[in-house]
Amino acid sequence: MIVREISASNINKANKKKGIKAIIPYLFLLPHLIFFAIFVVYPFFYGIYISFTNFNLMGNPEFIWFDNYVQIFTFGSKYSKDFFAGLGHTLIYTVTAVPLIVFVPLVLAVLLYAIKNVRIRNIFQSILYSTSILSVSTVVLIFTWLLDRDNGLFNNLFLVDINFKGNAVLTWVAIISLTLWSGVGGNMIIFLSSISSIPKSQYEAASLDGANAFQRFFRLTLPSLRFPLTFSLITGVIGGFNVFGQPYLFGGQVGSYETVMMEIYGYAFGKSPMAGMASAMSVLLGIIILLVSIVQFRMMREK
Amino acid sequence: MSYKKVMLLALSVTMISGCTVTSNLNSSSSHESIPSGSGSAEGSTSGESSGYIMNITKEDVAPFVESPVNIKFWNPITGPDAGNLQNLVRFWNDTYGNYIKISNDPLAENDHYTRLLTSFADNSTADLTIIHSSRVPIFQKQGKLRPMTNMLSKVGIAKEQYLESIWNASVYGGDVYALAWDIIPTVFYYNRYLLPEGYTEEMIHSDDFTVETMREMMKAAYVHNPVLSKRTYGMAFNYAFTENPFISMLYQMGGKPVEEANPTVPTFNGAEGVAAAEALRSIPFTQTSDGYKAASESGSNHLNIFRQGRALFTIDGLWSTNSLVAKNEQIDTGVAFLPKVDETATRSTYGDSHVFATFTNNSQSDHKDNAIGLVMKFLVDNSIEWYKGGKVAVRNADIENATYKAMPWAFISQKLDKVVLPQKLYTYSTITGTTGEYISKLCEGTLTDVQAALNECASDAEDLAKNL
Repeated sequence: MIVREISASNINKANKKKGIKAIIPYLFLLPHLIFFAIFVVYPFFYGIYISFTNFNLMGNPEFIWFDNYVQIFTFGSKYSKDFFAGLGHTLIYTVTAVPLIVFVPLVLAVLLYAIKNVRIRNIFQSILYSTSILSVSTVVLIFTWLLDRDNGLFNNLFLVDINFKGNAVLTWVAIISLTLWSGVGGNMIIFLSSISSIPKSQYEAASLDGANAFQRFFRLTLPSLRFPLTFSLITGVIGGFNVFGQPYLFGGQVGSYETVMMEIYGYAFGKSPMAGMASAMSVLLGIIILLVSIVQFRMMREK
Repeated sequence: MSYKKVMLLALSVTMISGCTVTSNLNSSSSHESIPSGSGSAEGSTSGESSGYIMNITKEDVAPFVESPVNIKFWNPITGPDAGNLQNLVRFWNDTYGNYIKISNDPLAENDHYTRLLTSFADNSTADLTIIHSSRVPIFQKQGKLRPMTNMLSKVGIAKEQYLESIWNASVYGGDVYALAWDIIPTVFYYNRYLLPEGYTEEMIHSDDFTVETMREMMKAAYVHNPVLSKRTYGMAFNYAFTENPFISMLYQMGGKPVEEANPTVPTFNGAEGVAAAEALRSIPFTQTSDGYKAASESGSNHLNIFRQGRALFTIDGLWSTNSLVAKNEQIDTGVAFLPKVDETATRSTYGDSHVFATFTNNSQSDHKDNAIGLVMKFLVDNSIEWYKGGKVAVRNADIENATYKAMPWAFISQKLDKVVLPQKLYTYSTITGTTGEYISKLCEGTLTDVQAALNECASDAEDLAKNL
């Protein structure tokens, strides 16, 4: 009987300990969860709610059901024109900038890895990464000075007359260039660390089997980089769809560079604030990003 | 030096600076003596003679000795005129900052309004703000603005001191909702050095000066030099600033942007609007006899071009005078009204206005309102400093002030019938705000059919206005 009681109390104690142990990880997570709930979960659901209202940041929101969405999909309306034009510009940016922001750092990472002298490699790595620490506004300011039509270094140094802000194509070339210049560092570091983690013995074995540099890259390096590449591509696409700072600050010919995020910002805080409409556009953008990400994941998984 | 020594030194510096801050705070809260502020105060922090008027007396400030007040002051003054406001705020804070401190917090115009709008959510709006008069109707309609009638009357600011039209622009139901500090019209800058032969300054100021005459002058002044930095233009055209010139020219033709009786209906797409848009877009399309564009192209920095003495004309707001008005080796700037659309038009210009406004917020109190009233009084008493940054006077006394009269744009005050203020309609800034995009596209050449463009613009404006 006594033995039974002791064993029961022991079991209770052990259960209690187990319970506490199970809670401890969540306690460590709690600070993050609190902030996540306040700054991500609540705004997420509130944003969806707002998209069904006529909230203008000044008065109380009134529920208007799908009115905002209907206006966005009423082709020819101001909202529809702005949203789809913005989406078009965003797609131009995403389709051109994202492959570059993955491909160029990959090439740089491979080239860096090929440098045998670690000190020299570190110097180049630091130089190439240094642009990534600059804020978007700083980068845009530098490029604005560089590419200024009349007083810019580019035109004066090469004695050419290129008006980067007077033509839609050139404006996008400038915006994508500055994005690339400031964005290569992050992905390059990720790729470089992944390449470094591939066992050297595999390369040696491949070389012994007669594989040349290209074969080693395509048969060994690239497959090993599947996960970082997927990560870069998906974060790049999400970032591409959310692009705002670069075109907003660089500017260009009216109507040629406004992205969907700029339209959302304009509707939320412009001369005629319509946070409800801006939220509806944000929800639609969120759905688009979600769908694109799912497709990307599936394609990557299949491959 | 060892790590420990460096740390010790850093700690000592931190402690010393901390003590200094504490002693400053102590002295500021002791209120042992209020500096004399009455009369015309002299001197500033830099030791220069400021000449600012300080009509606030010790008695006025006395209630704030025991309970000092901090006035959160949000404004969109970040351009070339920012220094003029900073000078005034610095002078006030040097004089009465221990009792009523102005926390000047300027942001670029878009960000300023973004901050205002987001602050409504938790009623944390600033105690005192500067907004544009065209925005007053929408904020007033939404119940965000507080009447300042009592605040103004307590410090002796009255209707009789102001131009009637500008005072009435902020009056709703007998209450004053904003106090105008200036008029900021769209103007026409010219460089005297580049005036072509046969054309005089008097012609530019004449009531008969049309866009066509201006284009002739542009062609005559245009010089093309293959060396990039030497290129000179008839006009440094600002493609991002077409809304105000268009509205000005619309008014010149007798049109209005919004229907008074039905404020959600735009009216800028009538014959007057078409004539205005045609005239405006003819400027960047002006070509010289040898085929070169006489105006700078989209993407160029019009301010730089004009400042470098490479353009005869430019169109901008009067607030850019600190950047554009100068007399040096490169430019000798003159200021005039915009040229008129054609012979049938009246030479006039559209002018918005900076106004002081108080929004509803959590920290409002009678005590603070008294302080805000004193600050506003100080600022408007010293409007001359403010006008130096490119502003037209709105107080009757200032219009007669000798310093103001010497400003290159003071002539506008003598022709105030030619300055058109925004319509007092809650849809006004929204409806006029849509025009900039379309007029810029017409000027850039990405749109060509003026009537179709204005119709589409009107349709956009109506879409927005009916949701307000």
